[in-house]
Amino acid sequence: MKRANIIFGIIAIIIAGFVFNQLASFPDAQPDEVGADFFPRLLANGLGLSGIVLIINTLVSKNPETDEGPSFNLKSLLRAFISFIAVLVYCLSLDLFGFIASSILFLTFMMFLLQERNIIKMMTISAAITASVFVIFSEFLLIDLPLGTLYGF
Amino acid sequence: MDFELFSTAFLGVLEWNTLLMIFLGVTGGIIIGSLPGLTATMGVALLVPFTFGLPFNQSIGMLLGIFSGSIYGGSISAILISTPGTPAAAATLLDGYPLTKKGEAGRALSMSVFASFIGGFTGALIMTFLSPQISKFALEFSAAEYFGLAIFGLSIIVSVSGKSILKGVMAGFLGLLISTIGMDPVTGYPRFTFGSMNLFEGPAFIPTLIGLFAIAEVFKGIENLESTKRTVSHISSLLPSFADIKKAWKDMAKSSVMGTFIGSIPGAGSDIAAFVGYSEAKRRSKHPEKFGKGAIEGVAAAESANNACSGGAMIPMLSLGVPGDAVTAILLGAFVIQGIQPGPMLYVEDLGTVYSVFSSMLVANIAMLIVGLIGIRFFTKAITVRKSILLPTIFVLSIVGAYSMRNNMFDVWLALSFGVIGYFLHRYRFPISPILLALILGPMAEANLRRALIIADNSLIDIISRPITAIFLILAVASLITSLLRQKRIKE
Repeated sequence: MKRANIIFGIIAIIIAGFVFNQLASFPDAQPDEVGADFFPRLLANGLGLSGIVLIINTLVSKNPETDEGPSFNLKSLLRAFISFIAVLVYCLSLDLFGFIASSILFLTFMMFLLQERNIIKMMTISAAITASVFVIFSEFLLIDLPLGTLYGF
Repeated sequence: MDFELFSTAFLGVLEWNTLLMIFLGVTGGIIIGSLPGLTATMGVALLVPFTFGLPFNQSIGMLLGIFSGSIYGGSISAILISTPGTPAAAATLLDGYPLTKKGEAGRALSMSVFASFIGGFTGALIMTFLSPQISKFALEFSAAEYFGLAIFGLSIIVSVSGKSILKGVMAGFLGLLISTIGMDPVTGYPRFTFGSMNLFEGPAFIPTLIGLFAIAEVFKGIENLESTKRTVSHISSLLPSFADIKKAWKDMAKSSVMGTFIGSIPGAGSDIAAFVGYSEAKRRSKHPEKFGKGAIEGVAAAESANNACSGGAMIPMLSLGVPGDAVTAILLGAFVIQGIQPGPMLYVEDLGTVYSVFSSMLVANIAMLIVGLIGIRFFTKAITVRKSILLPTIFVLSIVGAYSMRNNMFDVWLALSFGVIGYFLHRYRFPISPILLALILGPMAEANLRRALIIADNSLIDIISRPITAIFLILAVASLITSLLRQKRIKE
């Protein structure tokens, strides 16, 4: 956890620095007025400062909280990473293949990733979930879900 | 109060066709509210056209049914899958989801529907008897008072921070910074939008919430697939137990009154009411350390406050013609379409109509209790589904929920980005609740502080010395000090 805390502290300082950099291009406020930069500047100061305190605290503290880290299981992390890539591809494919085809494929793949192995069961459940979501959102709630540019919609 | 006229109006609402419309509205509202991404506002807006051809009582009954049902419905997904269906249910998930993880989803849901009923019914009763008086008091709220209210809400960041206050404060600052994205509320200058029109109004709230809670939770669930047990919820009774009611009745009563009052202040919505109710329940509790880990009082306080808010929001809409929030703005439109013009004259010229609205609101809350209780067994079935099916389904619902807010892929990417951020923050034990709190209350705090400063010629003393503001600020400081002392005691 020690290393993670230091990294998060550095990220907080970088975000604060980025905000300050952006604030430089904000228009100047009237002399007797609180400008658009007032709140973000205050908050960036707070974030940066708490990042510094987190780093110092982590380096000097003997608190066990700073020493225990989350479990690191390569197989589990890889599964989370693959699911992230899958959802990314799913979102990218929505416009092209449409909600129905993309969702059935995505759900089937995700079920396989999560250790389901019966392909007929997976396909059936995926189709049923997709159909239910599509009918509720598209037909009853009149939300235009993407139908797929590939088919000319 | 003309009791004879009121009883005539009440009997009118009890006609079978009006009752049917109310029940239909409540059921539709609960379904819409429980779907992530679909808010009460959207539910009422979607169903308004269906009520145009109906007689006044049935039309208003249905709309108020949707309104009440959807505010409660939001808590179902908050409790079961850690995704508030509506922003109003954001505070409910803080204790509702931990209860589900303990296998007590049924207990959380029954308390949620019961507290929603108590809050909604109290709100409707207060609205019935005190609306003209409350309207006058609510008008006393200027920017300074709104600022005080927001600071009081933000003061619980420390107490929802869990083990590390520092990490909670960092998360709070991050959330507040995110809330500054978009057009500056005073000058209109676009801040941190990088030229994207999609960010002009700030990151859309629901997709952000879906990302931070639902998507992050799914990533976590996928990572810990082997170690997480399937949650099975046992339901012994549909009603909350006597012990739970005894534990939470004071919080419910207080939150109901506070929620109604907050609802009556134009601009302060049910999401804010829920957090203020939750914050107050935690502050007054003898066991505040249990909040955030599955305290039934937390669910009760948040749900009674947000449902009471719907009654409160009707007060300025009816008595002043000023809608308290987005839903009442749509309701105002529906009233006008029905040939009724809300405002002070309505109380003078058409008291019967006013009483019909009050009666519909009371009956809608009873209908919500009945439909909600019957639905508990059905809702809890959702989490007994295998993780390999449930997790991908939540993914799809989250993506569709984020998309449906504005029919916009940008919001989907936003939800996904916040999902990744939420996952890493959670993994390294940064609490997410302070971000949620900051996103809701940050814009209110900033905009009103700056407006108040303009009004008071930049004199901060003038702002904080206003009586109502001062009370809120003193409560905020008290809440901070007690949280810090409590943390210190726990560490010792």
